[in-house]
Amino acid sequence: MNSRLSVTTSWAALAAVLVVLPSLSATAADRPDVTVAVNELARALDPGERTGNVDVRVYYSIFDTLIRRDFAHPTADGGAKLVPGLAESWSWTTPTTFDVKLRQGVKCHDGSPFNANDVLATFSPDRLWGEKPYYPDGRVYFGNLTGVDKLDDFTVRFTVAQHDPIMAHRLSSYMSFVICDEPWNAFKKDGVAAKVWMDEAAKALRWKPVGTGPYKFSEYQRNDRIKLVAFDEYYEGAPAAKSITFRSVPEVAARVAGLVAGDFDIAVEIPPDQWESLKKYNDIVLKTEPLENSHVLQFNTNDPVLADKKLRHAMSLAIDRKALIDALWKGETYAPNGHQLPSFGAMYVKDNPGYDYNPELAKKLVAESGYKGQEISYRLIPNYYLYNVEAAQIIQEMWRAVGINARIDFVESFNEVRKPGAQVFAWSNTYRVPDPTGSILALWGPDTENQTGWKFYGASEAFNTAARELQAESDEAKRKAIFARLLTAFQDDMPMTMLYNPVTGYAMKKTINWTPYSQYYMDFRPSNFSIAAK
Amino acid sequence: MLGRHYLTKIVRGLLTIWIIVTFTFIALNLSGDPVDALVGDQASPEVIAHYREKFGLDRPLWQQYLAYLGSIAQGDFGLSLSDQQPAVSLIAAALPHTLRLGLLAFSVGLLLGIGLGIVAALNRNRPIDRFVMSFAVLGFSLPNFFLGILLILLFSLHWRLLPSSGDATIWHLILPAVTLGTHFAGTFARFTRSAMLEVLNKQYVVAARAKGVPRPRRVLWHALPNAAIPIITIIGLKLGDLVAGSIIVETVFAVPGVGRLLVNAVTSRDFALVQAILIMVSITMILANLAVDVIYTLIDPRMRAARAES
Repeated sequence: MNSRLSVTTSWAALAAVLVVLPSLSATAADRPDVTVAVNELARALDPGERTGNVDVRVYYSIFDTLIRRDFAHPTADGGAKLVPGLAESWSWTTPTTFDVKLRQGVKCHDGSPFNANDVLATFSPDRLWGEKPYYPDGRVYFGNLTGVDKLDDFTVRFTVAQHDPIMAHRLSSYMSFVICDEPWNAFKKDGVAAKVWMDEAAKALRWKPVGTGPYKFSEYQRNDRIKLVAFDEYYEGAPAAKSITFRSVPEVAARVAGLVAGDFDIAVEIPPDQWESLKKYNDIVLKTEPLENSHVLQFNTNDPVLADKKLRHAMSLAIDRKALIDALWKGETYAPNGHQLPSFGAMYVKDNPGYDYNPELAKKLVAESGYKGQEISYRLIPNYYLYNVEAAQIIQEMWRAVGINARIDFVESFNEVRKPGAQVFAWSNTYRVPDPTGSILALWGPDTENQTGWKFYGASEAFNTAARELQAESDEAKRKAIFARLLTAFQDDMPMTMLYNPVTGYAMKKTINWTPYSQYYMDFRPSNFSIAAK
Repeated sequence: MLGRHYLTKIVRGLLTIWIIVTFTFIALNLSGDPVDALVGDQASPEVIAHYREKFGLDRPLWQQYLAYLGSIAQGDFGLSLSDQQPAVSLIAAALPHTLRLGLLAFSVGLLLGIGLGIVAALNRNRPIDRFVMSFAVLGFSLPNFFLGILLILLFSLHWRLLPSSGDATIWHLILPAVTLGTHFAGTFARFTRSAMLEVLNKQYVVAARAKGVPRPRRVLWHALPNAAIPIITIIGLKLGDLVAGSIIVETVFAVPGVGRLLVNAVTSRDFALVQAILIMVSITMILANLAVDVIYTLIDPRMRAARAES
C-alpha cells in the first residue's frame, strides 16, 4: 500500500473514531426504555421448565443458544439458516461425536466468564437427557445423547447414540438455552439427589435467571410486569434499549389504546379483526407473521365410524382452506402442502400435493364409504386456538354440504378432548425443529402417543417403515426421498387434515425497527432491534 | 350479652370459611386437572405425570384435602402452581392495587349515589327523579366490561386524553374508577331513594316541617339518619364485594390487583391461589357484615337494646 495513502487513511480513521465515540456513548446513556404490551406474562423465566409462547418471547432476550437460527435471513431455498451463537463453530468429528468450539470473551449476567462448564451444566444428563431428567421435556430434544464432555475450556463434545443429521438445529431450538453454571451448581450438594438440589436451584432461579443474553432480569410483578435491563457487555454489542418492560395487558382494546396513546412501544397478539382499524394511525406500523405451527383436525382412525379411510378423505376434501384463510385471517397466511414447511430447506418436498379441496370428489367418497349419516363428534376447547370456534362452525357447514353430519362438542381440557369417544378434534402441531424428525415424526411417528398411548393413529406399514428409515438415514438426498414417501403415506392414512398456519400480529411505533419471527421468540438483539430518533 | 352475640357471629364466620374452603376444594377438583391447564396441547403423558407428582396431585383426594386443611391451620396457603410463588405474598402484592382502585371507586359511588338518591327522593315523580333513576338503572345494569371498553375507546383511543391501562398514577385510575364507581353509584342511588321516600312521610319529619325546621336540616338531620339502616346494609355488602366486583374492571384496565389474580388463577386452575383468594374474600365479607352489625347498634338504640336483651 502507498505509505502516504496509508497515513491519510489512518488519520481519517482516527478522526472518524473521535467523532463517533462521543455520539456512541451519548446514545448508550440516552437509550430509551421500551415497553411491550403482552397478553400474558411468562409463567417462569426457566427455559427448561416452560416453552410456551408467553414464556419464550421473554427469555429469548435473557438466554442464548450455542447455535442460532437466523430467522431474518433464510437460506437460498427458504430453509432455516444457522449462524454462530455462543458457539463459534461446530462439526461432526465422527458419525456420533459432534464437537462445538465456544466463543471466547462472553460474560454471564453475574459477571462470571462463559465457558465449557456452562454448557456442561445446561446439558447435564440429570437436567435434560438422562433416564429421568429433572426437565422431562429435555428428552424430546436430546434423548439421543449419550455424553457431553469438556475437551478444553472452550470445546465441548456431544456424543449421540445414533448419528443425528439435525443436531445443529436441536442446539438452536427449545431446551437448548444455555444457563450459567455458577448460580445453578451453587445448589449442588454431595450426597443429595440431583432431583432435590435441582428443585431448589430451579425455585431460586425461576425469577432470578442468569444467562448471557442482551438483557438481564431486573424485576417481576405477577400480572403486571417483567422488567429486563440492558446487559452492555453482551458479545454482539450494547442493546438498543436501556430496558425492556413486558407489561401484562390482557384486553386487545387496551393494548391497542395504550399503543396509540404512547404508553407502549410494541403491542403483541393483535388479532386480524383489529388490523384494518390500525391502518388509520400514521405513527403505528403493523407487522404480521405466519407461525411455524399448523392448526390441524385430527381424526381417530380407530373409531368405528372414522375407521373408513374414504370418509376421512372426504372430510379433508370438503374443507375449503382458502375460504377459511380469507374469512378468518384476511388472506395473510397459508395452508402448508403437507406436514412440512419451506424452512425444512433441502428436505422440503416442494411438489407434494398436500391437502386438496374437491367437494365433488368428497361427495363421491362419502357415497362409496360405509357412512350412514351418523353424527360425528368434533371436539374443541373454545378459544384455545384463535378462531377455533369460528373455524369449526364453518367446517361443520362445509361437511354438511357433502353429506357429513358433525356435532361440535365444547370441552374444557385436552384430557377431555382425548377421552373415550373422541372422533374429530382440533389440535395444533408445532414444527419444533425444521426437519421431519423434529415435527411429523415427533408427533405422529411409530413411538409417539398418537400410535402407542392414545392410539388415535393406526398407521400403515408404509408410513412406519418410512419413519424408521428416515430416523436411521443421514444422507441428505436419501432422507428427502424417504420423506417424500412418508408424506404420501401419511396423507393416504389421513389421521389428520391440515387447516392453516395461524398468523400473529405485532403493532408498534414507527420509530421501532424490529422484525417478528415465525416463532414466538421476540428478538431484541442489536442485529434485529434498533430505535430511530422521533 | 352483646359479647355473646358477637362471639356467635365470629363462630359462624369461621364455619362459613370452612364451608367455602371445602366447597372450593371440591369444585376445583371437579373442574379438571390443573396440570392440563399448565402444560401445552402437545405435552406427553410422561410430562403430565411428572407435574402431577411434583405438585402432589397424584395422591388420593382426601389426603390432598387433609394436607391442605393442615397447612392453612398453620398459616401456609401453599404455592401458586403457575409461577411457584407463595399464594399469600402474591395476594399481599396485589391487594394495594385493588384497595387503591376500589376505595376510590367506592368513594365516587358513595358520594354520587347517596347524593343522587336524596335528590331523586326529594323530587319524586318529577323529571329530575326519572333522569336520576334512569342513570341508576343504567349504572348498575351496564356490564363493566362494556362500559370500560367504551371509555377506553373514547378517552384513550379517540381523544387520547387518558391512559388506558395500569394504575401507576392517578390519571391511570380515572377510567377504571369511573367504570366501577358508576356501578356502585347506581346501586346506592336506588337504595337511598327508596329508603328516603320511606322516612320522608314519617310523622317526625312532618312534625319537623310543621315546626318550621329548614329543609336541609330536615333532610340531613331528621330523615337521612333514619333512612341509614338499609343504606348501611347495602354499603356493607358492596364493601365486602370490593375484590369480587373489581375482577372485570381490573382485567379490562390491566390493573394488577386481586381481582385479576383471581381470574388468572381460575383460568389456569391454580388451586392454592384460588383457595387463598376466596378465603380472603370470605373474611372480608364476614368482617364487613360484622362492621355493619356494630354500626347498627351504634346508630340505632332500639337494636342495641334488642341485642342486649337477647
